[in-house]
Amino acid sequence: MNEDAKNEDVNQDVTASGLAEVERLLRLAARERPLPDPVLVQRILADADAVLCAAAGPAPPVAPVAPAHPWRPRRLRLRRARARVAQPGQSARSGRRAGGLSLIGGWPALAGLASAALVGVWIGYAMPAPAARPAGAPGTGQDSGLSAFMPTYDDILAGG
Amino acid sequence: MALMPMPLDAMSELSDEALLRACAGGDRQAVRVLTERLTPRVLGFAARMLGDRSEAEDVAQEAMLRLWQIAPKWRQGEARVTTWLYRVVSNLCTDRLRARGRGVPLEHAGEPADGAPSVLACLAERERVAALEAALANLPARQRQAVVLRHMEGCSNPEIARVMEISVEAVESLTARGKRSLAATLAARRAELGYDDDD
Repeated sequence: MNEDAKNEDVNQDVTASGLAEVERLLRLAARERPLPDPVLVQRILADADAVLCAAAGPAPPVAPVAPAHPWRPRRLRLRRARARVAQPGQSARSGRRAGGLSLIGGWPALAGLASAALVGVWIGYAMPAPAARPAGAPGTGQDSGLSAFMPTYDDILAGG
Repeated sequence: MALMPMPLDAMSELSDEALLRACAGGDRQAVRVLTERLTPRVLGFAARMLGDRSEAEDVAQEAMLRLWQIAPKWRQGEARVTTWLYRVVSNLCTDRLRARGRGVPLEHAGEPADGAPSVLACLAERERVAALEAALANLPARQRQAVVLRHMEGCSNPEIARVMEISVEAVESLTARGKRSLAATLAARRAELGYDDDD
């Protein structure tokens, strides 16, 4: 076998083993598929929402979820509710505030309470005049006219 | 039109096409399942084509947006969703590579993607895979596309032919040339990658 032929055989051998190694490494590399960042997933879902779901109508209302353990003492349930509301990265104070807020029904309920309080203050400050009583109402000293239809004491005795 | 919501487990067993049909009907669970199923594939393919994680994310988002846009008009049985998506990603990546006017610099390519879970126990193996990815990023775009689709995304040759809009023979030629080029690059770094120690 001359030198050129030997070199060609070696090259063939190197190429065959090299190709096998390339395929092996490609299989290993394929396992290292990059995981999508949660922010990217949120961007994609927002696109889908804008394109598909907006065209199909508003999101269905979420049914209220019954407590998993309704017999559990209320204090324990409240403590767990507060713990659920507090997210990682939130301060303990903001977690407690959010927990308290959720107990009264969230921001809408708080807004309702605030409105009611303001109306109460306004009524107290403005002191509107009392509404006039209808004529003949008890305490007005006027005859309502109904006495004409009532039997008198004499009628009762005569009928006796 | 709103479809009756399905349990998430049952939905994860549906085909891509069935999920896409549900997506077109405004089913948010189907959207989520399809997003979680397809985004890693789209992102992985784009990252290997571009060698840049940030650009790959933009491409992945754009490709998925086009999928949502086509969903109401999707005709069953004409193409697989993944084949269609790979074609969209290919075109988007080609546009970006053309805009760059050159390939990915070797020093910027081949690093394992951020956050990718390591399945390689051996450091030498990791270096070899990194070297392969670097060499892959330096291949001509068409060869890289064919090799990635065939050997990393697990597509069949006819499917790749549909994605790249070429013949099956042309796919075989591109993958063969690409792999020979990768083998030559790795062979030039045998000592550096510790292959001589294995002998």
